[in-house]
Amino acid sequence: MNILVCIKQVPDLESTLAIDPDAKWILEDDTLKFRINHFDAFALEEAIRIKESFPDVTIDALSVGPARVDDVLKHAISVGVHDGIHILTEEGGYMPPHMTATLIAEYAASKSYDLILAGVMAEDDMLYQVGPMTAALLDIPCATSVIKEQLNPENRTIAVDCEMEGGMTEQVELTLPALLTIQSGINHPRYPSLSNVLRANSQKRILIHTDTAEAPGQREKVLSLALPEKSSKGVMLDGTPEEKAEMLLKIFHEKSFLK
Amino acid sequence: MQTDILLIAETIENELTPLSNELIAFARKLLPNKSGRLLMVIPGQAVQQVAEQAAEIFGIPVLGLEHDGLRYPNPPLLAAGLQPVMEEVSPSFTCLLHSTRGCQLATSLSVKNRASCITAIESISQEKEQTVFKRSLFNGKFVMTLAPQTAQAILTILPGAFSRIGNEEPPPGSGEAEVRKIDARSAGFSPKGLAEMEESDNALEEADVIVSAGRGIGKQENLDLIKNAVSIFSNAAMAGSRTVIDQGWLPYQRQVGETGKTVSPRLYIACGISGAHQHVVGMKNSQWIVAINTDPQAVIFSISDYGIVEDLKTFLPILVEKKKKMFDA
Ligand SMILES: Cc1cc2nc3c(=O)[nH]c(=O)nc-3n(C[C@H](O)[C@H](O)[C@H](O)COP(=O)(O)OP(=O)(O)OC[C@H]3O[C@@H](n4cnc5c(N)ncnc54)[C@H](O)[C@@H]3O)c2cc1C
Ligand SMILES: Nc1ncnc2c1ncn2[C@@H]1O[C@H](COP(=O)(O)O)[C@@H](O)[C@H]1O
Repeated sequence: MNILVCIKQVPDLESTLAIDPDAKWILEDDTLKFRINHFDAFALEEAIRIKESFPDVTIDALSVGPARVDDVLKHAISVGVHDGIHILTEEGGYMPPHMTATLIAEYAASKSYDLILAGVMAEDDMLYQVGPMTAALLDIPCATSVIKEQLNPENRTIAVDCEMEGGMTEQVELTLPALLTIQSGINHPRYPSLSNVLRANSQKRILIHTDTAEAPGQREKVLSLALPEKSSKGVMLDGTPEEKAEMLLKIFHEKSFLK
Repeated sequence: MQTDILLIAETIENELTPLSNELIAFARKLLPNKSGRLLMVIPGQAVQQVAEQAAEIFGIPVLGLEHDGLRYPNPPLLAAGLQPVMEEVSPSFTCLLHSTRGCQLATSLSVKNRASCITAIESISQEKEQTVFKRSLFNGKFVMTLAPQTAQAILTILPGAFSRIGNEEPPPGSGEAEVRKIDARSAGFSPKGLAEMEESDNALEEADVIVSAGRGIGKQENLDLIKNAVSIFSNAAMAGSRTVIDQGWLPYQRQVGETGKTVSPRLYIACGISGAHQHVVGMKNSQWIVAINTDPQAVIFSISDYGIVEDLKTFLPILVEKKKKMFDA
């Protein structure tokens, strides 16, 4: 049983983010910190749990991006992935979903994976597209927002609970090969041990060079990235923490919220 | 039958989901010269009645697509059943709801029709004679404007962004309903059932004040800080963002947002919550909103009445102390 996990490296959303001068994406300078997309950490953990429950499972992790994404592949290896596959692009920035999905699907098609896991969305571009689009390109069944899965290797199926809006879940059975997009809360991702971190550092990743200029055409054109319009309804309180607390308490008192 | 805009509604057990009329609001904005043609597709198991009602209420033609497998949302089956319709009407825009199922369907339609795909659209505008769409990135810290580059575009619409159907004229066209049985299969995808989360806890519905914890609380023990803050209010309850509920620190009944509860207390205090759209849809109708966050750029501030840039770990204890000094003496 071969599993592929698609992981994206995203900027840390709590670092100070600025718009790039060409106003098409955020500025990716040396001060920007990157990390694994949270949803992909859940997908990675789920793959490792499958491997721990069934014999003969190997997991590969794949990431599309510039040199820096090596870090998330290293992390994936340190928590139990066999091979880290790096589809290397020259630059970072926005990549249209169709391009990312095509690159992933082309690689996956050459390896015939039984199961592909992705995150439900990437926290930077928030597209919700790359997972199901990859499945559509590969023409394999897909379930999105999965919060529980039970693999059944004998009859080559996987039973999943898919979350829907407003507290409903749907149970679906997929035949393998299949792709799942993983929703948060399905598990608690583990941290790697130090020895595994060291091992991961010494293991080579598989590098695949790609020329994004040659990659499939951009179906949507990015015109600009901008700050959202300020809905200036609110007030930011100023002063020392004590002063702010007093101001807030006065407001709460006036509106009779306090005990 | 040439159609400019195809709207794909969602049903569960043959009932239109409440968000379906947001598609109409969106289509009215998308039709720049009011001369375009609209068609709404309503998928389901038995939708004759719903289709007729929708045609009458919305005043647009409706096509019901029936299949036993469409009692619940089934994106691959619907994608297969929609393909002949897409080919017949070749719509410039195909609009779906930005739900988990809507997005899955959108990506299949995009692949099948080599069409551009823009998800979670919040607004539409015209730039140099072309229709462009805006959507949020980075939890709402930035907004991207995109233009489709293909003859057909598949769009998903963010819930709540086009909720108000204004006083504009209803779109042109007659409201006739036609229902077709579709003959399609969803290879390898078999829905087995639907379950609803049990709700036994009404604390959030009953509270005047909700103090809500986000990832910013850092660790479970810090929930005590939230608990102490709750105790200074007369009728308050504790809630959390999904990240806190996922950790198991609070039960699911206390999750606020798209996949949790929608609340509208008199006061909502967001502590260490960034303001992700999926959270905000569940609390933005609170009467007063206060946010405490270390990140001055946090999007939660843009929907707050009062914003405080502080570490909640130091600020909440000060707040509780001051309350005692100022009011309990
Ligand atoms: C399909 C789908 C459905 C979803 N449904 C929901 C839902 O129903 N409800 C929901 O909440 N989310 C939902 N989410 C998740 C959502 O996208 C966000 O990931 C989530 O809301 C983020 O939670 P958060 O604000 O607690 O964490 P983060 O986004 O990580 O934000 C943490 C915030 O805390 C601040 N902070 C850090 N330390 C401190 C400190 N010491 N003091 C003060 N502030 C601090 C940071 O600046 C940051 O702004 C859903 C996601 C998907 C894909
Ligand atoms: N550059 C990438 N490399 C690897 N996986 C990706 C990449 N971009 C997106 N994905 C996968 O697709 C999911 C959804 O991303 P998106 O459609 O951008 O919201 C992510 O959670 C990842 O699993």
